[in-house]
Amino acid sequence: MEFGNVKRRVVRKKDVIGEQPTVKYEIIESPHPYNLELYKKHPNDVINLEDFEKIAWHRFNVLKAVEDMKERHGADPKEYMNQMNTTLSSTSKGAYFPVAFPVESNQWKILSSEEKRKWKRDDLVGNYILRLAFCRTPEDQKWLITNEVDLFRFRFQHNMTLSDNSKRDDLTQFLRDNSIDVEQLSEDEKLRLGEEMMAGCAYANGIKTTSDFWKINFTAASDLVRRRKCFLKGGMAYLPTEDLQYILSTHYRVQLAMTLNRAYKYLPNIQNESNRLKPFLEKLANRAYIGKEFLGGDSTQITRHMIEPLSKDFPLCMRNIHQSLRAEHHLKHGARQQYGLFLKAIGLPLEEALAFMREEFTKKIDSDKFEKQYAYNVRHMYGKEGRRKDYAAMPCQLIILGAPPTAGDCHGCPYKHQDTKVLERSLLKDGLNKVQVEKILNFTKVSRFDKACTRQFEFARGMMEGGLGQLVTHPNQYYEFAIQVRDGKRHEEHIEVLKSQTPASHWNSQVTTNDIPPATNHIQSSAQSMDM
Amino acid sequence: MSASAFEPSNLEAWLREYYRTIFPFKSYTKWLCYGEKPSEKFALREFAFILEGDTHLRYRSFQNEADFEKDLIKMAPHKLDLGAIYSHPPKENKKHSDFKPVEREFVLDIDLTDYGNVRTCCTKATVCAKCWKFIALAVNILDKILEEDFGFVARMWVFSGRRGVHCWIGDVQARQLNNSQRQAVAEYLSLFSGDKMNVNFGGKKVRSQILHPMVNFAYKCALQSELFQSLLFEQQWLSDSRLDFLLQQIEDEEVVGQITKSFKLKDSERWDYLLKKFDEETRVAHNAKTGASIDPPPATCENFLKWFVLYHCYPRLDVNVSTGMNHLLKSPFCVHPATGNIAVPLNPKKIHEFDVTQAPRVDQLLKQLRENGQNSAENRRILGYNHTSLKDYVHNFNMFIMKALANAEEERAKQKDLDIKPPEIDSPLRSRTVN
Repeated sequence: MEFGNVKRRVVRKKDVIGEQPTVKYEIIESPHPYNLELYKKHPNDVINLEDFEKIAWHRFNVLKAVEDMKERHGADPKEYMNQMNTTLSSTSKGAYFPVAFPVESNQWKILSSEEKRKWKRDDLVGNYILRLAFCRTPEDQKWLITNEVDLFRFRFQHNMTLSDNSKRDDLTQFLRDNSIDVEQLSEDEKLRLGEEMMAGCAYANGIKTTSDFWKINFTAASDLVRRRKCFLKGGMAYLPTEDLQYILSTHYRVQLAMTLNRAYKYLPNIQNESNRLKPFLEKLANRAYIGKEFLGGDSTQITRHMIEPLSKDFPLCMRNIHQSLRAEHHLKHGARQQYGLFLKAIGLPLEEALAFMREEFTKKIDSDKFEKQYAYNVRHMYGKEGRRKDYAAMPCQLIILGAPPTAGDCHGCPYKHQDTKVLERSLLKDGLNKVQVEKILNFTKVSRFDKACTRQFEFARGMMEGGLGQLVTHPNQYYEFAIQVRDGKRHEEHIEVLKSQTPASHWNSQVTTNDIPPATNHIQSSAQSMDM
Repeated sequence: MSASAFEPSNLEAWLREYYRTIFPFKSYTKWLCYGEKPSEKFALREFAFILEGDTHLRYRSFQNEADFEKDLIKMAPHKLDLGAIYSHPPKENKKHSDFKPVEREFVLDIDLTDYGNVRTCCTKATVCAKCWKFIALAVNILDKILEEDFGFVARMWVFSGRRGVHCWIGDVQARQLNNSQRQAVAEYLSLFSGDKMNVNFGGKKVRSQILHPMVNFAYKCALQSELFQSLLFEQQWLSDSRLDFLLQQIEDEEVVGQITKSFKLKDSERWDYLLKKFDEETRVAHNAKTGASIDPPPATCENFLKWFVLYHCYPRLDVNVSTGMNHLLKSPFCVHPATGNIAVPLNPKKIHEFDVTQAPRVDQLLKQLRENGQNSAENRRILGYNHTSLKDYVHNFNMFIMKALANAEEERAKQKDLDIKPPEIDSPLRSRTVN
């Protein structure tokens, strides 16, 4: 399984064209192909760079959509399935077949075998490219695993809803292909275990003989064992077909985590690709968190006197720094960087920034010292010194993964870096109630800082959970949303508009301009729908 | 055996003597080797010595039995804990970046202090023979569930030295569980979260509730046990003062009235009434035998008796002990420094016969050895325990080791079969060591 080598081969397409055996996507020829895939066989055919990027962006967009769907409809499984269905299975909008192709016979049948092959290949290749792109940090890995597993589980559930008789054969075939050690119960065994087994599986309405039952070693069913949702006997867990999804998704999760680590090991093998592949892969991974780049200076300009009233719409990290600045009349480097770039991006011009900092700092030090020690720093941020680079504001990812604050520092992400007690106090002070604060703290405990921040946004603005409709991934994005809400340009109702708009724009942007970062596109398109 | 109070001032000397003459090194090492060379398992096992003043010496490991014996006698630790088997010898833990636990028995911990709200004979650290019945019943129930549901064969129940028991499961599958699987098993077995039960028995707001077969199984086990009968009356679970608490569980006005009425009777008749009303089997049998027609209880409280029985006697586990592969747990045959009691392996079939107030004690064992073992001085080192009351417990220990080794042998044979086929490296369903 020389993962790295595979990629190398993939990239040196021109040298090897015609010499490599193309991988056979055998399942295509089957009349009832299942769309479940654990991606164990690596692709080894030739692919050109353009396709490479197209496929990668496409799969990335699908996963991004999966994440959004869960964020919006996670609380309502039915609605979630509906939305996933419409979003992921619409073929009309894109030249690419959706990754979550529902294998409903008629839709599948109309495809030519070439199209089927392509679909299968893209599914496989896309998964492998994203593995390579997302293997570098634990956060990236987690993002990919979460959303890949959700996609997998959606496909499984979707298959379950099909009335087609063949789904059972497909499933059996799938389990056999992936050598998953699960055995279907015979009718005899089912009757023998009877009611006890049904009770063990938490079947509320007595015996349901129509459903198939399976047995598997209990170690593979630990989720169900934990919740006492399967029947156990002699070390085997007995469960209905529906519950196989937990087993399989755990299986997939473990396997994906393993292959990601392996991909990471082989990453140096594509070192000589530093010009072509590496920047692309890095860009891909970064898009998971960063929406657009906030450079500032586009249209709105603010003055230093507006900062104070505006600060109530700042995210908590920025408010912390702001308060610290007001109280201490000083900021250490980390905070100056984080806050300074944020202010720049919301439209504070250089002269105002200098004046703002000077006013505060000179309450403690004389202005000579300020000019000598700090003014350079401010001008540098605005690209007027040194490299003269116009720095963009820091996204959450950078803030969270960057140097953590030490004593005397006030930068960082409060959900990640702040003591729980302190965080709890400041949230309560914000007027959130205990239940809400508890919810937010629970997210911080499982390292979902983005969710914690999003919830804070919603609760502080009296919106319902998930009302924002997406996750905060950038302090300036938070601020933009906050301003929209303040001005009445963004309501919860807009989710409805978003629902129908987002998927379409996803596929559209994909086909026409695959070099535009799609996530950016996504946010912009949401912003547009906001203005409607 | 005299029951004079334990005097810990002499502990240091006794410990040294105990480790030198009585500690069953041979069996102990045999256990930890699981039928392989010492370098395969034994040498990778973490031992922790706890010295006087709570000094913990972690990550000790030993090449072989002789090495271990020498050090144990030399250090004479107050407590001996066992940890996991690691990827490298634990004493080299700082040398390897990939040092991590790879295998460990699945362990359970039951402690009487968790029974606070149902134990009326004693409180906190004190224990009497009556209290032990809680433990005995808990072991009876859990031992059966572990066998029936999980198919574990090598189960060892060890007296913790004061007021509880530990269970060590040495099956290969149990040893190879990863942390989340351990947690899953522990949570499956645990019907309590803190003081509250985490099982929905129906009642308030919920109409009827299907109970997991394991819950019904535990209920039946308890109900059939004589231990439960004696606990019921000894701990006064049906005393007048408990009535209010019991009635809180029931919504149905009529049933509340009936139970209140039954409490005018004697304790044993109260119980008879509850059985006939709420236990389906008893009710059906009673109706058939006497021609009476006791109605089944309404759906909202049909599980009331199950709740009652399990709330009072279902094993209360300390889940945290079970979930971590590298969690340290007191070793069998370790001396409890405060009571002098030896952590002896028990026979789960005869666990009710164990007298917790007369447990083997380090000073008494030494005395027995001096009195009985005179003429076999040369054999003392290995068989010292044979001349003391520890003998039976070492027998229990050996029975466990036999089962564990047989299971290990069986799994090795299976593994060989598998190895002939192409290995399935990626499948965590097959290779269970994957984290």
